[in-house]
Amino acid sequence: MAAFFQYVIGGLAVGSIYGLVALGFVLIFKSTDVFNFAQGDLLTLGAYLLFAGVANWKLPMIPAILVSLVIALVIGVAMQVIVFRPMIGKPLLTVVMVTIALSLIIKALIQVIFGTTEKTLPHQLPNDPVHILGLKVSELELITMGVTALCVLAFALFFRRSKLGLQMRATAENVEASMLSGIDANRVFMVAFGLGTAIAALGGVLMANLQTVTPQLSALGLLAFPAAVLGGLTSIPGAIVGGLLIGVIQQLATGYVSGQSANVFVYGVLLAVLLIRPWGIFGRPTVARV
Amino acid sequence: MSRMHTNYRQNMRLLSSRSRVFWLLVLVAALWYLPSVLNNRMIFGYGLTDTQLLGVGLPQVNFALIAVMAAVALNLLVGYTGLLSLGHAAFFSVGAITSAVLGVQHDLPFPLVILASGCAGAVVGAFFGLPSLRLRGLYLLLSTLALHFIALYVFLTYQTHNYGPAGITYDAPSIFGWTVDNDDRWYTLLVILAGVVLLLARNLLAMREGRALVAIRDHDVAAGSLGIPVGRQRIKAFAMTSFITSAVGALYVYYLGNTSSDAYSLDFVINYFAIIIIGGLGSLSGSVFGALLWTLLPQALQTLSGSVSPDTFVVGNLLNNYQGQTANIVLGLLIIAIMLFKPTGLSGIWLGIKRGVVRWPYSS
Amino acid sequence: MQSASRIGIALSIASLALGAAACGSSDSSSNASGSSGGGGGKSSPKEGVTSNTINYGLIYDQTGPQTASQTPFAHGFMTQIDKANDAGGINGRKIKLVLGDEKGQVPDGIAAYKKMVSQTPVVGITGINSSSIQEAALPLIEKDNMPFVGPQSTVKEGLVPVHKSVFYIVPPYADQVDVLLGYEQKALNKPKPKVGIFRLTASSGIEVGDLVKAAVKKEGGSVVADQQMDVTATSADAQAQKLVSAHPDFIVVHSAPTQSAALLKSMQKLGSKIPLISTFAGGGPLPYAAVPASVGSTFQYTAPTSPSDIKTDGQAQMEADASKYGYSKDVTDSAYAIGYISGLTVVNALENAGKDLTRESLISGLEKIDNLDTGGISEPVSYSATDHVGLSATRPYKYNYSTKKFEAIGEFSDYTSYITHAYGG
Repeated sequence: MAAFFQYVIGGLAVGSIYGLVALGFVLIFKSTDVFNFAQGDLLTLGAYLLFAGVANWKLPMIPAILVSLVIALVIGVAMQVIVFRPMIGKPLLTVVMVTIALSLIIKALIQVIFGTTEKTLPHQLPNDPVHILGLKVSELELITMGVTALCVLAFALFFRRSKLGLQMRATAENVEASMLSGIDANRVFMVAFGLGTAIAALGGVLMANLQTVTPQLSALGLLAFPAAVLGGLTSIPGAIVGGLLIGVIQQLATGYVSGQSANVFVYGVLLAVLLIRPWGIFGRPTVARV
Repeated sequence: MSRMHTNYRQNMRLLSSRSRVFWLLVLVAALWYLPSVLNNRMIFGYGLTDTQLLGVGLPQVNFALIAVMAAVALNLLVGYTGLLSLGHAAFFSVGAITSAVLGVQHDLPFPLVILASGCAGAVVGAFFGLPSLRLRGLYLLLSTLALHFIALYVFLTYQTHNYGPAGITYDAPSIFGWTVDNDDRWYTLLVILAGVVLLLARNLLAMREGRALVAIRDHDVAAGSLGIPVGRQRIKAFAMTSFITSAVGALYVYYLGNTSSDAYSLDFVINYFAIIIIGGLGSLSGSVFGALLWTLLPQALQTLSGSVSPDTFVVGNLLNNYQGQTANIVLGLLIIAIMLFKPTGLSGIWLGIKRGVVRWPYSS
Repeated sequence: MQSASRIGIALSIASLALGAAACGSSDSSSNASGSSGGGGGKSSPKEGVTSNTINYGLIYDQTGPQTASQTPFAHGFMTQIDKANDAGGINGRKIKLVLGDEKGQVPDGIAAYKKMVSQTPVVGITGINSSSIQEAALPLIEKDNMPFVGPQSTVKEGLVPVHKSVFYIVPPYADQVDVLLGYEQKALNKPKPKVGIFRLTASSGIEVGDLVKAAVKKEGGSVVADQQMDVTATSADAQAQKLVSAHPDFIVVHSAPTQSAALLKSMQKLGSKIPLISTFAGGGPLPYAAVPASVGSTFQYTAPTSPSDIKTDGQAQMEADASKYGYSKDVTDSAYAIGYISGLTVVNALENAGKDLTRESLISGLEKIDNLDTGGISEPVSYSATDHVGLSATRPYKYNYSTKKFEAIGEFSDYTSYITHAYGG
C-alpha cells in the first residue's frame, strides 16, 4: 500500500509540471484561439535559458530563474506580434500549422545555440529526501508542487480581481463585444502569449532541476493537450487538475504494469472522458449553433 | 481553361478537353524518362551535377510517391470530409502488422497481402471512426490521438513477442514472379499505384459519395436534412481512407525492408498533416504538391547547404556542423511564409499561377 | 485554342529558363560523380574517389532524438579527418565528408545510405548507430559490399555472421555485459547474484536485457527485477521503486545518460545504496553531475575508452586537436573519443588501401589494421579476416567526487578473461 502512495506522490510532482504547461496552453488557447503545438518547446526553452543563466552567466539560482522567466515573457510577446497578429482571423488548421513550424524552428535554434549534448545544471535546487508520513518525497518535488499551487492562486486572483485579468476573460468570451467595450484586444493577446510562454518556461525551469536539460524535454508538451482536455479546454484550474491526474496515472501505470504502457493508460482515460464527458472535468458543455 | 461544363456527365469526365489529353501525355512521357535522368544524372545528353538535381535520386522519388498516396488518403479524410484524425501512423502500422503476419509469417503472395492490409485497415478505420459520431473538431482529434497510442502499444507488443528488438524484416516482394528488389522496379510499381489512387480519389469526389463527404464537412446538419446519412458516411470515410493508408503502409514497409514501432510516432502523423495543409486542404493536386515538397525539400536544402564551402562567413560553420538544424529552420520559415500569405497552400499558388497565365494581360 | 497557346508560351519560357540553369551554372564544389582525372593512382569516380578527392560518408542523427550523443561522435570523427587533410591528405587526395542525417528514423537513414551508394558515391560509410536503422541498412550494405565502419554494433546480425565489409569499433553488447557482470560479481563477492535491470524500451535495451538474463542464469543467479524506461519519459521514480523493493545485489543499467541521471535522482529520493553498473551508453559526466556524492558513488560504468581525466599521451593529443578544430565543447564526451578513434581507424585504413583506392581495397586496408595505437585513450584497434570488432577490451570507471576526476578501476587486461565472445571475434 505504501508503494501506491509513493507512486501517487511522485505522480503529483511530475503532474505539477504537466499542469503548468497545460495552464500556459489553456491560457493562450482561451484568449487567442491558437492551438499552440509549440508549448513543449517553450518549456525546453525555459530549461535552456535557466542553464544559460546558471552555467554561462554564472548567476545564482533565484535570479537566474527570474531572468529566464522575463526573457521567456519577452519572447512570447514577440511571437504574438511577429507571427500571430497577422494570422488573426485565419482558419484553425492554418494557425496550427504555423505553431508546428515554430516548434521546428525553436527546436533547431536551441540545438544550434546550445549544442545538442545533454546538460545538467552546475548547482541545483535542494533535492534531498524528506520523510512525510512514511513516504519519501524530495525537497525539490515539494518546491515544484508548492510553486504550482502558488501559480494557481496567483492566476485565480489575477483573473478575478485585476483589471487586465477581467479584460482577458472578457476577450476570451467574445472578442468583438469586448473591443466594443473599449478593451484593447491586441494588448490582451500579447499578455496572453507572454504569460503562456512564461508559465511553460517556469515548468522548464523546474524540469531542469528535477531532471536534465535536453532537447527531448519537448515531448512533455505532448501531454499538455490531454491534460488541458481532461480539465476542460477553457478552464484554468482544470488544466492543473488535468496535469496532476495525468502525472498520477502515468506513475501508477509504470509502477503496476510497465513503462511502455503508461501512455496507453493516460490516453485510454482521456478517450473514456472524451466519450462520456467531452467538456472535461471543469468545463461547461458548449452548445453548437447550427 | 476550356469549355464550361453544362451537366454532370461532362463534369465527371477525366479527359474533358484536348489540352488535357496533351498534358497527360506529356506527364506520362516525363514520368517514363525520369528514372533514366536520375540514374544517369543527365538529361537529353547534358550531364547534371548532384546539386543541380537538388540531391534528388530515385529512392527519394519513391518515398515521395508513397507520401503522395498517403497524403491523398489523409486529405480525403481531413480536407474533404473535415474529420480531424491523428490516426495516420496507426493505419500505417496496421498495414505493417498485416504484412508481417500474412506476408512474412505465412508467406502469402504480395498482391494478396496488400489487399488484406487494406481490408484490415478499413476495419480498424471504421473503429477509429466511431468517436466521430459523437465528437467534433478538437475533441475528435484528441480521441484519435488516444486510439493512436493504443494501436501503437498493440504493435509494440506484437513486435516484441514475435520479432527481435530491432524490428520486423520484410523480404523483397514479387508479383507473379516479377521480383521488386531495386529502386527502378519499385518506381514502376509505385507510379502505377499512385496513378490508380489519384484516379480513384478523383472519381470518388466526382460522384455522389464524394459530394456527400464535402457536404458533411461544410454543414453536417444541412447535409442530414438533405437525406445524407451523416453518421454512416463518416464511418465510410474513415474506412475508405484507412483502406488506402494501410495498403500504402504495407508497401512502405516492404520498400524499407524493415520497420519497428518507433517509426510510427506522433511526428509521423504531424508530418502528414503538414503535407496536406501546405499542399492545400481539400485539393488532390495539393496533396501531390505537398508530398513532393515535404519529402524532397529537406534533401534539396541539405544538398544546397552541402555545396556551400565551410569558409563562408557564419553561414558556413552553421551548415557544416548543423546541417539538419539549418534545414529545419529554413523549412519552418517557409511554412510560416506560405501560411501567412497563401493559406490555401501550394494548390492555391498553383491555381493562381494558372489563372494568371490564362488571363494575361488581364490578370490582376 | 487560345488557352493552349498561352499555356504553351508560358511553358516554353519556363523550360528555356530551366535549360539555361542546367547548362549555365557552374558548381564550385561539384561532387565526384561525372568528373574524372588523371594523376597518381587510379580513381574510381563511381565509388567516390577522384584524382584529388576521397568522398567518405558519415550518417548520424543530426536533428532527431539521438543527436545528443551522436553529434559529439561525428565531431570526433571530423577532427581526425580535418587533421589528416591538414597533413596533406591521403596519397595526395583530400578527404571530403558527405554527411547524412538519419533523424533517428529508418526512412531517412535508408534514403541517406542509398544516396551514398551511387548518387553521391562514397568509398565507405561510418555511423548509423541507431539499431533499427542499422538493422534495415545491413542487408543493403551487405548486398552492395559497401565498407561500413560503424562505431557500435547495435544489432546482432552485424556480427553474426561476420560480413566482409562490415566493421565495428566498440565492443558488442555481449562483451560489455560479460565484463560488467564479472566485475560486479567479484567486487561484491556474490557468485550467484540477484540482479536488477534498468533499460531503455528501445531495441538495444531488449538485446541487453536478454543478454543479462542469459548470463546471470548461467552463473546460477537470478534476475529479480526488470524495469524499462521510455526515452521520452521524464521520471524514473516508479521504476526505481520497483527495483529497490526487489532487493537486488546490484542493478545493471542500459540507457542514455539522461535516463541514468533520472534513475540516480530517483535513487537519491529513495535513499538507496544499491550499486549500479552501466553499459557504455549510460555513463559519462552527466549522471554524476546530476546528483551529490552520496548517490553518485553507487554508480559505475564500463567503457572501452578512458575519460578525459585520465591523462595519457593520446588524451593530450585529442584535446589539442579538439581545440584546434573547434570542438573543445565535446571533448569530455566519451562519444567524442569514440568518434576520434573511429576517424583514426578510417584514416589508417585509407592509407593502407594504397593509391588504387576502391571499396574493395578499403576493405583490405581495414583488415590490415593490427594494434593501431590510440595513445592510451583505449586499447589498440585490431581487425582481422574473422574479427571485425576493433576494440574488444572494456573496463569499469567511477567518479571521485573529492578529486572531481574520473578514475579507472583496474586495467583493460584485468577484464579480458570475463569476455566469452558470444558474438564471435
